[in-house]
Amino acid sequence: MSKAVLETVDLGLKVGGRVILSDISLAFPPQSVTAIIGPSGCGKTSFLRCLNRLTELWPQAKQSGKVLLNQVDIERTAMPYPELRRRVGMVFQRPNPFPGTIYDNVAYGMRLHQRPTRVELEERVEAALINAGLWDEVRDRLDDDALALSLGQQQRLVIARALAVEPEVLLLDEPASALDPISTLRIETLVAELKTRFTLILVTHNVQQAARVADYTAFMDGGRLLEHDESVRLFTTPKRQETEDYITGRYG
Amino acid sequence: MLLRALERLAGGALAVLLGAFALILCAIIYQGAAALVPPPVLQVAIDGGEKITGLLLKDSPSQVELLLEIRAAKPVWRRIDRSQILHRSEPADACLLSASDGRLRVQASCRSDEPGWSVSYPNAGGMLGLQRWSKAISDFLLAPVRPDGQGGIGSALVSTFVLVLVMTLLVVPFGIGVALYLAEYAADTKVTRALRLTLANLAAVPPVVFGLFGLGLFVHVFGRQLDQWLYAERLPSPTFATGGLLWASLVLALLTLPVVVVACEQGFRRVPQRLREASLALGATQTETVLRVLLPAARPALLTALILAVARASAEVAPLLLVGAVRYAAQLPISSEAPFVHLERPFMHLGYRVLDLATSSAGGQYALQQAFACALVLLLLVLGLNGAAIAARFRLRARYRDLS
Repeated sequence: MSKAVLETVDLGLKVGGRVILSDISLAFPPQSVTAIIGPSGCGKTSFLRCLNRLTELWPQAKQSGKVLLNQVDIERTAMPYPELRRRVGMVFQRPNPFPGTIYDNVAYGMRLHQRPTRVELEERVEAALINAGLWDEVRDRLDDDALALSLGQQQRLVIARALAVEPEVLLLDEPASALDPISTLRIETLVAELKTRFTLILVTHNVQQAARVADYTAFMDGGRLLEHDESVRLFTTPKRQETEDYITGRYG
Repeated sequence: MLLRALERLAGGALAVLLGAFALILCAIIYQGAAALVPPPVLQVAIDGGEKITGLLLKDSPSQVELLLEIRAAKPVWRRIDRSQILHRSEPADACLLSASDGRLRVQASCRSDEPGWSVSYPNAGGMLGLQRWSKAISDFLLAPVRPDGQGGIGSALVSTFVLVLVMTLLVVPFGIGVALYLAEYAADTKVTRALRLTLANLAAVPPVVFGLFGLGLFVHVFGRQLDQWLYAERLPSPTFATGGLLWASLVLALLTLPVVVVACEQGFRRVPQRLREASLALGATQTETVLRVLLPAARPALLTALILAVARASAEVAPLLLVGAVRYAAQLPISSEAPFVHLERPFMHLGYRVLDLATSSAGGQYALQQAFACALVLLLLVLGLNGAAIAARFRLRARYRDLS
């Protein structure tokens, strides 16, 4: 395993005194897809939010342990969270485009971080939309309202929006759970394409999806990491009984 | 069953309210319009050969009421029973003589150049009395105000407009700031809860108390201090240490602050959390998120707050009496020379005008009609101000409908 782009060491999370996550040490190798699976409420989404510090939005959340980005402790370097979040992008469960045009949505992040010229902006919006597999559908209507797109298109739009700021890691929080099967398939294909350039972390409650697209899979339950391995091995020969029960649908 | 009865009760109450509202509106329009249509000059011949010429103020089945003249602010009336009238006519060359001090005379005919009087011919209406209408309306709006408060309402209209505008400029940025703090930055602590409670209670304070507060603090403390710093050469005659546009605007701003804050905060809270998350996850700071996502998405609510503030502020008279509204102001609070807006000047106000007309002993029915006409104009002003905001909100709503 080459050096991890992102790594957590003994990561823990308490919200208002309640333990949500404890002792999670997990490394994400570059240009790979790691799926995080587990039953509802096991802390998958919370874990993802620890990685880009969106836990900051929860007033009573206390995060412990370390998050290393390229072997560097985020807390120690005192990297501002906005900078962290630019480098570790996130796509949410429900598509959340901004009210406004398709173009403005994709350009949002770039306009924050640099002062791009109009030509640069146009080029990068186009590149991001191509990378997200949406360009052919929206090239003639970039000035249309983003909310007029279908849910599946909206989800690819927010992926394009995340890609446009050139992150190193992309966090995907059940990106297909609100979508129909065809849109889901498109997202999965997209994930497979994107891993050639990014490190992807995919939270999903769909075991088959994890098996289809992920190189590595981590199984979580009750706020703990129970098993982490290459997907091939985890899905064929799980080491723990709980993992086997979950992936074969005998959970609970 | 109980629920059913309650529903009916609520429905009934709503119908009664709507009916009452429609009635009030009709009264204002009917009475107000009556003041705008000038009465014709009527000439009647009565038993005994006497001919009486006067403005027809009331034309009931039993009697007519004529205004013969206004002498030293006292109207001279004549009531005539219908049974006495032998003949009535509206002679085309009957004329109305009015002097700048408010005196009025009605004559059956007159020369065109009476010294000291301006002459008009109410009955010589031309087509549909169009001339008469336009003259009456322009008199009502544009005639110069006289020191007793009578005269055209144009300057009061302009002053009211400027007052509401200055109030808006003061309250909207401050209200949005407070609402932003409460909705986005403040943690839910005892202090913020106390702040909210205070705001809610502020809305329940009687407006005249705000006026008193403004008089005590703004005029007497701030105003005196300002005068000592900036206008020392004019003392002892006060510049800011007397009621004026600025203090009145501030009082109105304080008065409308709770409404604005509550409406804005609601608006900010209704912006879905996922939009904030989307912005933060792209590396935006909280300030950037507020400026680029929250404020635009909350615009319809901000406009609602503006509408509420304007409606509330244009309706207030009582507090203004204490901090600068006057019956007669020689100068408008705006001018064509720098600094254009004169915040220290006392001003006239439409609402005060309504109050003044409706309670004045002179003028009787005529003054009441005038008051209604003022109320009508005030209503139109509020409607105009709000119409613009509502139109803007309507356009924004269409854009943001999919959000919620």
